[in-house]
Amino acid sequence: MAGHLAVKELRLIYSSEGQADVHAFGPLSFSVAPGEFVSIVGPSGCGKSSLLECVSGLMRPSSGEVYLDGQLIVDQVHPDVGMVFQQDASFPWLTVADNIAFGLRYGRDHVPAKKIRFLVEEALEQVGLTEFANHYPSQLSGGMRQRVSMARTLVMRPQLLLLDEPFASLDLQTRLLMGEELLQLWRQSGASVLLITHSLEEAVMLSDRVLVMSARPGLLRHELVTGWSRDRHTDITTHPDFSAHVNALWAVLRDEAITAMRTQA
Amino acid sequence: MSARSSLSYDGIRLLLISSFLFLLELVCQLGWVQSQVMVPPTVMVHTLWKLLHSDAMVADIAVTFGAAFQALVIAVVLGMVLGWLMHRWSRLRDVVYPVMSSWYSIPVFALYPMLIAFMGLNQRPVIAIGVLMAFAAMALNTLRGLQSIPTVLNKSARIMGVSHFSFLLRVQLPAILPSLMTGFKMAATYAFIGVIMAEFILSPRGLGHAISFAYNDFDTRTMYALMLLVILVSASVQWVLIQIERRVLAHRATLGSV
Repeated sequence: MAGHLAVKELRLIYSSEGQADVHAFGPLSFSVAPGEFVSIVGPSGCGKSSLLECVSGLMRPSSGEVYLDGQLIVDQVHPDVGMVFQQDASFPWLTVADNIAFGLRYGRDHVPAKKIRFLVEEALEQVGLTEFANHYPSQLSGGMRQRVSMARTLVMRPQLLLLDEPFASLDLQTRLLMGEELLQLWRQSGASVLLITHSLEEAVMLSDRVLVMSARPGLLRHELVTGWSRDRHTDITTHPDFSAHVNALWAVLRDEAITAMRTQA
Repeated sequence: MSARSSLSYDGIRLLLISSFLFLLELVCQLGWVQSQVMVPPTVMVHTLWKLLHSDAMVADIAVTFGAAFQALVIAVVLGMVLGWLMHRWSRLRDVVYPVMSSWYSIPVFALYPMLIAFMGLNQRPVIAIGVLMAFAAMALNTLRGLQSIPTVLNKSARIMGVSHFSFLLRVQLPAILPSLMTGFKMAATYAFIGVIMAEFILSPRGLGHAISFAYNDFDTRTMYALMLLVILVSASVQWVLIQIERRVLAHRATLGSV
């Protein structure tokens, strides 16, 4: 299994003319094993999303290195990396099926039309949108649009899946269902997952390992190994360890959240 | 707005326009207004009908439409390129944007004598005025559209490894289509106005010249008939464009802003 992510001494400092530099995060070092599901939680404004953008290659970090399967991928988008965002990223002018096919059609590799059709149908089925293949995003609910983004990413067969609070704008029930689906897709795809979330329950429920970031400048404060089996479901929340894990995370995060609130106020 | 209420709004609008026309007809027929000042709408329509059967007038109309069309095409291309360049280079935007956004406070027609001096007394200065009137609306709307593309769409495209060319063609272009339609509707009107006004001043041909000629000749009937033609053409072009817009943007509840 591929998808081994190694982040070394990554640091981001925003500097803009005439203003004091803002130290967003770092130096941060961590790794994600092939097929592992890792979440990062932290107070708002700790640079979680920027960290994910630096890992994806969308943003250039101030210093440090990111390796995917031993290959340096800093400052460039690697073909084996997929990313799903919090905001709706579906293209409103395309149907669901065309949205999912987009990366295959206009991405790096030339994929034959026949294969695209097959892959899109498969992806539609995976996320339960087969009936909505010819609908436009404006005709779908928020949860369904996030599924479109998920399918569009997974159809590219990423080795590493980066998720930037993908369920944050959804209601609680939809979030739980999407979490369930995400676990299933993760098992099927065999990809490694790095999830950013501000929900501790979500992090504990989904992950093999949870990393806690500090208030700005974001540093790694704590690491929690959940010890769940790979074929877990959302009913893991009833497991005796579940609330203990959530409480342990909150104990660390509480102080950081207070610091973050004070510095932002 | 439901189909029913929009229908009733259409009905009210039609009622207002027709009662205005009826009043105008009445006032003219009763002789309350001199026929040198205003002619009844029925006479306008009748005169227009006759004019449309005269070869000279059809030639004038063709000249104007041809010039307006050329001006529109040039303005659209020029405006889209300029809008895109302003989006791409913030420095260019900082320099050019203030000029563009206050463009319509510039009396473009004041340049007409200069354009004639440079280009000669032919169709080119007429088209140039049309272009000068229309391109800024297109450039501003192109820029506005590009600036309002959600960054998450750009990021997604980059993650999927979409090339620069595909990004331009498959993401930016469809994303700004609503803004382009808005710009196009404005540019079409401005190009038409610009061409007719330019013909009005000095051109020896075209619809604007015909109106001005009729005016100088105290030929009130022809003048009003041609003004009616200008209004009808403008309104029909807008109507057609709005229908196209509705059809093309049917599924874009989220991006179809005006």
